[in-house]
Amino acid sequence: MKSRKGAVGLGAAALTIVGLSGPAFGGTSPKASPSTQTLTLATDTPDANILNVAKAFEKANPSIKVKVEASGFNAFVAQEPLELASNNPPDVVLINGIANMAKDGLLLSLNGYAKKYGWYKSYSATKLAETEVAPNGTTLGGNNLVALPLSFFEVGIYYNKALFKKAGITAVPVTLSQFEADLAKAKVAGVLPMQFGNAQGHASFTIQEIAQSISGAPAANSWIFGKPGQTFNTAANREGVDLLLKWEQEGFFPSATQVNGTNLAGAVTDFTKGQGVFFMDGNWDATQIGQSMGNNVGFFVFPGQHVTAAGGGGPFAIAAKSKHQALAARFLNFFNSPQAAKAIYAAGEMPNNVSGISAPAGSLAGDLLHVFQAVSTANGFTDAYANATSSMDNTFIAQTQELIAGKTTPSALIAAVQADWHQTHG
Amino acid sequence: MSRKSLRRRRGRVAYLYLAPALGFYLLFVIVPYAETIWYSLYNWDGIGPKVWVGLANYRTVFTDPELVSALEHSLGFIVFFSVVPILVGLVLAALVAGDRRRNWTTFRAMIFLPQIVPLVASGVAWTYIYGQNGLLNQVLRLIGLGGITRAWLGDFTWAYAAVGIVGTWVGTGLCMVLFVSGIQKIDYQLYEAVRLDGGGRLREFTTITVPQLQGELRVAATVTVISALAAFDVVYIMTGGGPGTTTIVPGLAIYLYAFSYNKVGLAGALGIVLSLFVYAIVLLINFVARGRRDA
Repeated sequence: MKSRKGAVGLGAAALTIVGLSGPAFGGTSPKASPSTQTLTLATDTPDANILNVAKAFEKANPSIKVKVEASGFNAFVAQEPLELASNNPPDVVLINGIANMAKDGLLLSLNGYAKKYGWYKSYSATKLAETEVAPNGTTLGGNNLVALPLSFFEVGIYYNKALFKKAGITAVPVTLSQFEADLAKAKVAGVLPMQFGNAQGHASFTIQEIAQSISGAPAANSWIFGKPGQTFNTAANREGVDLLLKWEQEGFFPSATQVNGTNLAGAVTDFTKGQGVFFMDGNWDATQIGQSMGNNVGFFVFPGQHVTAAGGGGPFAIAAKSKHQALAARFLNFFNSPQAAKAIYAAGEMPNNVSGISAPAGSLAGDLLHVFQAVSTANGFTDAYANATSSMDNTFIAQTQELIAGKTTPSALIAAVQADWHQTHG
Repeated sequence: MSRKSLRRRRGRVAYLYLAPALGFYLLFVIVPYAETIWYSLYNWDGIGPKVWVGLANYRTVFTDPELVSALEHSLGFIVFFSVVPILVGLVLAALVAGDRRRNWTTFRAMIFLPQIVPLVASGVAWTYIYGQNGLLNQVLRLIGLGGITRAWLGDFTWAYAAVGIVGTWVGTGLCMVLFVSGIQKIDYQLYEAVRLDGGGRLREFTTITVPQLQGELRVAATVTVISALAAFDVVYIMTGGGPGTTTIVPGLAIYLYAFSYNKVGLAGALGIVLSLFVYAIVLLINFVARGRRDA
């Protein structure tokens, strides 16, 4: 959920000012008739994804206006609980991590609407699990649905086709050992095997993708969701952390200081400039990577025993104090419509319902769609490790930076991560 | 009307004039400060029920290694944000103000410019400068020092200094402008006296300029020390506290605990400790500066 943070990054601050002028994004028309109803939607950045869906919804429901208010990533996250607790909350809100919002009774339970609209059938179980809370309000994967995902993220491996060939790699790897062999081949061929930036802690994805390719999605989700008795100290996670360190030491990544001093946006730019055969990233950067590299880039699911992809969804909730709850639920249900699916896909993201969508085989878009369908079928979607607690993102940032720079050990990293988890989940 | 009652009435009128400002100060500074003290005694996420924990949050502030190092980092920043700018500012001011032939307007404007640019924008620009392919590394490669290039903000050894230098860059202009205006107020005859006694520029600097700038030095030290201890924007934009926790400062920790980790109580405790830190050091500066003047 929060995993897109890196991609949003600095742009968010600049967009804040634009965002505050709300009405520019399909806001209330001054000519609206008295029967017109207005839904207020609060989000972090006014990205094409939600704006397109809001417009499509208005088109399908001419008597309803959707007013999108975007306040920028950091401001939004900081203010969201307070806005929801106010007497005049937005009706629909983006959820960047449920944190204490369900526990504090700020989010409407959607179970009734889920039954009414058939969401339990139209969404696979793992897609809903990350916004279903247990009775304590903080453990996820429970029975109380409090938000519905609009679109989905998938983390996988981008590869530079020309460098791939230059390194003498003939086929996309499907096992972890093949992948490691390919990284070594690239190293021998004198090209950087894997582009990587960890200034914002994206190494947590490296650890996670390796670990869940070994352990499977359910094990990863149980820990992320805070289920009782879970631990980070598993053989799969240990392998993920060990390989992260090993790949750094073997020179599969750029130098430790470059990795720690480069943010996601910087790593994306470097990759599109031809630095690195492989690059682990989510579909949120697909548009930029595709535009820069054209047909020279492909995407595959992280190789391993289990077909999984981290990332989670971009879920929206209804304020418990909203005055238009039924209307808001209609809006959420619209996410699963063919019109919304088209709008979401056109914005470069993955809708729940991809049945009406096609992309040319061999293109980046085709690869992304193929991976999405494969992971959906395998029920292999997971939320991000960094979302396990509200401080986990920062714990991973500090710990992985120290690991990569040789300032801490895999065991100490695992212990620190689990200590953070214990503080929230007990 | 007796003089006494007139004075009393003037006193009352004076309070009337002060009332609006006092009211705002009370409402937006004193009350929130008192509230913060109150919150700091609880475990609270900002919305849900509060749990009384007494001084436990304060114990955490002084025992949690990350928070302790945040306080240490902010003390270290005094060197970059305060000591170096004051020293460099003094020298520049003496050079600029001592030169009667040119008035150095462009130079002064350039040095002062960082004060006008919003810190967030400066932080973004410096992040690019320090990047793997940034200006700094380009220059280093140009002069044959390609071997030491690195992503400076990702380096455990250099990131702290790299952020600190931005503080120096910002603070120097303020100090210089303060000192230049101070020097212009110094009686020129004092300098002539030194020259008649056979003293050079250095002698003028140590016997006249520095002692005469006592007041400006105090102001510069107070303002820059506060900016060092309360540093937030530059660190937040440039490193977010990393790599590891090498650049974390109290301002950033307060922000994270209050708005990301939902620990309003702990954030409040840290905020109170930081503010007491600032008061203590500012009082110390003023005490030392006054003491020297009286001596």
